Amino acid sequence: MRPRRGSCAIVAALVAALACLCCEPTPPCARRFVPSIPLGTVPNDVAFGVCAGAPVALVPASGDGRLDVLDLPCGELHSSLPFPPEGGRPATPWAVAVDGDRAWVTLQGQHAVVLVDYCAGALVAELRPEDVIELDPPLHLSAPEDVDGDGEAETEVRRLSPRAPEAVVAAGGVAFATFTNLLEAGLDVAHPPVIGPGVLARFELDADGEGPRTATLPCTNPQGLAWHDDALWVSCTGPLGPTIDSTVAALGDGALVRVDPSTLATLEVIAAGSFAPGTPAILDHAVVVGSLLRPALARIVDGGFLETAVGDVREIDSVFECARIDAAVGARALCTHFSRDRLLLVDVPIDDLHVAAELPVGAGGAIFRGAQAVAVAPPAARELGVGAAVVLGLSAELALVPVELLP
Amino acid sequence: MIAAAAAAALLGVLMGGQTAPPSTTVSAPRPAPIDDGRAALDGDALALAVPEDALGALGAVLLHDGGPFSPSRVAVRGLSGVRLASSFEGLALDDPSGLHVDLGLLPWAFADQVDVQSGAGPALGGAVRLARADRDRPALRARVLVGELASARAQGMLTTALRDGALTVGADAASTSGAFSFLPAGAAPGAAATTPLVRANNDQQRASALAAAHTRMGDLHLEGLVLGAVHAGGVPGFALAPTRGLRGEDGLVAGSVGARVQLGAASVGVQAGGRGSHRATEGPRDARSAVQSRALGVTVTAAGVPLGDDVDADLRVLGSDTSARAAAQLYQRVAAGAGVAARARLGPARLKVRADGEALSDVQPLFSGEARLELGGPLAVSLGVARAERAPTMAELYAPSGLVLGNPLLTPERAHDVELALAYRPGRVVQARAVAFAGVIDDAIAYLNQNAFEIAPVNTGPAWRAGAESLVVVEPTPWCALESSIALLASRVDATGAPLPLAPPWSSRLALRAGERAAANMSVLVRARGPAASNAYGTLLAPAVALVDLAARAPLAPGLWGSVALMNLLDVRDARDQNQLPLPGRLWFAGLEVAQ
Repeated sequence: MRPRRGSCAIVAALVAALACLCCEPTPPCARRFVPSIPLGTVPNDVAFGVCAGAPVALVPASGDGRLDVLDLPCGELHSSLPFPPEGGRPATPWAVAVDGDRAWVTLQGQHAVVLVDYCAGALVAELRPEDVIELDPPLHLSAPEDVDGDGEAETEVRRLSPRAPEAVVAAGGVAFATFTNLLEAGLDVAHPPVIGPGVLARFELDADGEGPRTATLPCTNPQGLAWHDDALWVSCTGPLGPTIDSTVAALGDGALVRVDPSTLATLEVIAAGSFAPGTPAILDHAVVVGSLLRPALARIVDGGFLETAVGDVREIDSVFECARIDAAVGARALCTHFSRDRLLLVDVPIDDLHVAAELPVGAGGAIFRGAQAVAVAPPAARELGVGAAVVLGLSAELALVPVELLP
Repeated sequence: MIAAAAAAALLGVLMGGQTAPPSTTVSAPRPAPIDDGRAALDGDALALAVPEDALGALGAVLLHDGGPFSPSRVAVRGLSGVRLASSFEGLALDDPSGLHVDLGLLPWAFADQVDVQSGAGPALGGAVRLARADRDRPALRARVLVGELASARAQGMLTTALRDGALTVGADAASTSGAFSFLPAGAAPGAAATTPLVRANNDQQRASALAAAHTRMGDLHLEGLVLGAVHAGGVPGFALAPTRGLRGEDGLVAGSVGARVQLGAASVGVQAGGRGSHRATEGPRDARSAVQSRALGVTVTAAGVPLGDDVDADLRVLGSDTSARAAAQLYQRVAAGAGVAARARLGPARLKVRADGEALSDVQPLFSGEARLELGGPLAVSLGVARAERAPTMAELYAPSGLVLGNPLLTPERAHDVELALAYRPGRVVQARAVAFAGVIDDAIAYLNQNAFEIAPVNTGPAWRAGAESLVVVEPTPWCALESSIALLASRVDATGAPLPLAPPWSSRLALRAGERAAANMSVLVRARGPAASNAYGTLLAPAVALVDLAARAPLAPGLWGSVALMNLLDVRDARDQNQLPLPGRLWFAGLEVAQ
């Protein structure tokens, strides 16, 4: 019995429809704007780069011990570079800074700074400062550990090899990284953190085999860096730990320090008290920085430190990072408000600081996603509609901010 | 004939697990009964940790830190932790502080059967219940097991007759180095990561003991049961972020004594029991936290009270006092409750209803109930609705562990479920069971960040879940059997718009046995699950995983059995559990069993 022509036509139409569905080419990455890109475990920072002329985002996934490079604006994985544990010690890649086709990554858990070819996903060099810091009076650990690099574990620490690097900035073949020298985290009131003086290190690509130069900072716990033109600022939170009244608080004074990029000499120290400043942004005539411990911003103008609340400062909240964004009306700052899933567009006129706009990067509310780190997009990414990228630390996502939302 | 025997020897399967002791019930698993909406399986206690195979057959999914004897927990229809209850022959084994019990602390070595109650019932999300198959039969059984990762386990249990009763004692001890090799996960497609890593700080030591006795003196039935389990081991941390020297230890002890007397058609009993727990973690420097808790309770029951023609009921009254101590703080909860369960015959159908109420000193009263209509026959049908409430635990209210914040404003979370179950049993060759369910959870409690530094439990509002489960057993001959189970789950938490965390959308299990259970046999087991969200937002996915196990077992002499097992036969070394924790590659184990 011959099949009826109508049946054949229906089958043919179905096959054709399926073929259309299956064979439709995936649009190129440039045509797929994915506003929220899943990341790995405990993403901690973001930076923009360019691979073969196309923009990418670099994200250190601290919990996974790797640096992921994502094509933009679709978020597909371009390359991934793992940093395996050494001797049971996790790498904990912390922050990333791009300099052309290279990137500098701080490995907080292994006390190293690495230079990588991020497009190829290849390690170029691993660097550790060779300087040793003399401590007087010495610090005391509750359990022995080799922190001076002599191969012997000690509980009384008189010499210290720079440890626990966190912030990094880079440009023109030069990079700066801060070493927090956090030896023991604060567990409870009876066990405050053990922390050495902060260290700033300068790395150069053409250093002719010489190691990085270091300088001891006049503050502790340097967690933020900003570098713009000839200005280099380091922000130190001071020691953080639990108190009787709070899960976390500033146990000592923080500071912002202006450093000479060439000599690493301290040029200016701005006392920040219990503000616990995060990563600052250098604007045209001021520096803007948020607090790690309360919903507040501060501006530094002519040696003055002026705090402005952006929420109920009785609550623990964080504005982890600010980044400079250039606009026609002058430079502004984009700052991450952690518990509100907001990107704050901060205007700093001569004698004021105010939030000009709040850009949502998550739902906010009771189950917020944790706006943590921000990077302002370079021209290559802006051409594809990406204005900025924000790491949502709790939900492990990268939120892309459309360029039209930014000034 | 020779070819068939060779094939049987090559492909033989041990359906209930890799190393069933001869004295356990060794019949092929039957479709779970549906008369009370609960699954049941004759099974054995897998010697390595917990019987993942048996739990998988019952629709449960295991989460574990990886490696033999490592801490683990079970998820049922997307719910786990304190939402599930656990017990051994009716003795509750839940941690009084309200921290979830490590599944490895349950007395698997002394159990022959495991039930998984799925869905809302006496507990919010279900229960894992262990029991012995025959408490009266005198028996001696012992087993030693050795394997990779310096793993060793020894266990023994003796049951001897008492006058009109029996006495059972047992002990079990296990240890492993736990340091297994694994590969970085391919969670990110294209990730260039092939350097093998070692899961360090993963040594585990376990021990448990049991003493149980029961006797009859005329119409009076007396029984006592004591169980204890301890565990200590490294806390390894994330895959590529290992902890350094963080240790954990926990212990659980529970016991009860009871008396029951027959008064006419009813059985009236009183049972007094208690349980206690100790949990501590410590780093290289000092103790991080330590919590001790205990609970004492009395229950009076009257079972089988006739209420009329074809109607009878069980009545229950209980009182308990629970406390938890941590960091010089003492938290206490006193509770009193009552419940009734009635059964009625309605023509060919049976109707079961249950209602329970409980008043607590620190939380608003709780009410739960259930109604189920059953129809028997080769095609059995059961339709049930249930409501359950769970009080916030003391850990959630007061955070005695000190690791996270407590939330004294928490309200109970509630679950309402409806379930339709079908069981088809045309004969011995093929048996099948299918269940469809749906339900809502109100005021679901979840641990959420309050800011970048603090985590606290919060009532997050409504969530729903729905799904289906199936189990098919085909046993054409005594020396060949095939068993397949599949569980499907869809869920959504309104507050996040994401599925329930750690709940895979599907999980499956396929087991093939060749060789009779009571003779030499071999088994192949394939267990798989779909991708599961590792966080509350559904944005961090643990990839799908499929693992194959192979086991063989044979009698070496009368009463003496030998067994070998290969876990993860295909040596998949980048597998992760739902918490992103690495699972071990191929591991071999060998055991000797004595049964008299």
